[in-house]
Amino acid sequence: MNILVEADGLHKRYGKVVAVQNFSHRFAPGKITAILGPSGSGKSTTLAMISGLAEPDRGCIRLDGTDITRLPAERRDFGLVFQNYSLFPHLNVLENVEFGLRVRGVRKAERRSRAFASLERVHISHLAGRRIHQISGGEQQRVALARALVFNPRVLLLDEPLSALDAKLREILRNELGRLLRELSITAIYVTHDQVEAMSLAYEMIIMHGGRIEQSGTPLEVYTRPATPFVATFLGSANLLEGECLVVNGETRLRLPFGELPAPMGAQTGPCRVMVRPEDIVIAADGDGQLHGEVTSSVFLGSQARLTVSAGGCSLAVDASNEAIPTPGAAVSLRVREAKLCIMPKGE
Amino acid sequence: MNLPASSIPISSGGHARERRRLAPLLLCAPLLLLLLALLVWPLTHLLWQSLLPTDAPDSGITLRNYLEIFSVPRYRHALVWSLELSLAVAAGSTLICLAPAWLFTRCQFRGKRLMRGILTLPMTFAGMIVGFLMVILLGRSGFIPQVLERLTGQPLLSGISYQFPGLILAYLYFEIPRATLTLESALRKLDGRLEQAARSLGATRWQTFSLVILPTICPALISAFAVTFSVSLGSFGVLLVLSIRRFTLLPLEIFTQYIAPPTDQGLAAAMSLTLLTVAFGAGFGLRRFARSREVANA
Repeated sequence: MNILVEADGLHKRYGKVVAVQNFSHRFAPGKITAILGPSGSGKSTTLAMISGLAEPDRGCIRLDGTDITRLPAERRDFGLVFQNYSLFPHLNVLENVEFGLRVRGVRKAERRSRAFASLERVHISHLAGRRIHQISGGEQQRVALARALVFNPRVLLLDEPLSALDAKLREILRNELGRLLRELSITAIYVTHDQVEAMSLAYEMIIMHGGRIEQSGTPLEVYTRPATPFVATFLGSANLLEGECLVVNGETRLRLPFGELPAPMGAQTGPCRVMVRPEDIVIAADGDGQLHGEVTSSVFLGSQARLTVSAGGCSLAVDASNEAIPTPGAAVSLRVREAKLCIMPKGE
Repeated sequence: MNLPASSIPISSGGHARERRRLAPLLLCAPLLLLLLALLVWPLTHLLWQSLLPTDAPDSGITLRNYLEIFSVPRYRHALVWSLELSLAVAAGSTLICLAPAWLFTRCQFRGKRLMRGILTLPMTFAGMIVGFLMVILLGRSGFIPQVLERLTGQPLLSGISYQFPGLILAYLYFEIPRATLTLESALRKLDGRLEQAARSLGATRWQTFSLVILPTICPALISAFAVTFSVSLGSFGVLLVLSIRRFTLLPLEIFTQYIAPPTDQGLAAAMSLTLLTVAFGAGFGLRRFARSREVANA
């Protein structure tokens, strides 16, 4: 269902605390949009406003062009999956899934068959008769999803649905959830603080910080071209360096603490901040890298190692292959992948 | 090598564990002794007394006193009225107090503490004081009947405090704090996100209340009902002021049989044990049912 959800200038304050300010976005119809941010960034409040569970102080929410800002949650036809699932403890699995149909006055026989179909879709129809306390966290998550999807919602909202699960189960369910939502082609808004979850599931990401949108775009855009230092450091690891773009002999060069590099295309001259990811600094085996430094620490991470290298007066995070991990004190020659340098205005 | 059990040395760790296990029991020992002294012996004595006919204590054990409670209309009515009154008060206070308990747990408003204080105030009153308050308000020349008489010229509600509805009102006033506090404590534990989940699934406010909140707080409602029922059944102070000879309840009959000549202590003992059995049985059964609902809701 390719429903277009638009948020325009949403603003919400709780007492003296501004939870969300000036949130505007057109959510991609039929796609998953992840709202990502640290605790207190306003992402759950934004979702609450979209769902109708919280009323914005200012701004409006439109659904296919119709203003639904004052429409109560129960009349929006949105499916909502909560962080703690919020399953009804007095009902069994099947009755929980049926609930959305029951309150819509669907006949018992029909709602039973639809609830079963919804449970089958998430592979837990064999648990239909179980009480909620008799099933595991992962199964509860599936029940919550089946319950939110059973009445064919216009939009599906998910508030950190996997955060209560352990890492392995989270990965399995994340993959299943992504596959299911893509099959359904439903407009989904997915709130999470987990960048891996957001990047692997979402077609588009919104990064929030301090109640504001810091940046939005596809996961690749946001990761490779962060608009602010916050986005750069929040999404993975980043080396943030002070630099200056200048023209030398007709060529735009980027001056960094450890030397000069050709500036990326379109770089403006003047002081700037440069972001480079640890995986975009490689150890030059032949010793002819652009900078030379000394390893100050080395942390084995399984598939690779994270080094801290002191070079040119700065401390750089560098990813190294786990085949030959330099030990602290070792001299290394480093090469920066110039195409991956990201330049941000100095004022940010 | 087989050693006799007594020769196996007990480690100092074992002693420490044993001491830790016994410590709570030792700490509770004074209270347990007091309870035994105040409960077991008087109850045994009461049971013995109830099985002996007062007019011929040497004639042996009999159930005559118990049969008399059910066969003599006055006593039977007293038991039935006691049960009716307690049921009405328990049901009434549980239902009436649901709204304020909800308000206290879910809403922030000016004067909340004052309102809560007023509502829980009757708990600090003795039953007789509540009885006197009812007389002042709804007695034969009480404030409300006087106002109504001035307004309508009719002696409306005059002396209603001495009738069954008046007693219910007085008992309700007395039980409201207990029911409110029991329900408030349960509602505080209710996960507010369940309401949000219900609303997000399309439930109206009424559907959310009837299909989600009410079944979830059912154990708390049963507990509040059980507490108020048991307390009402044994309550005496209010009754002493408001009851008249024409209309009596079992606690008052027990008092009369013990104190007012001609006394019948065997019959009073049988009545006491009957009242105790009903109150304990109802309370125990209802709480067991509430616990089973809690397990189902867990």
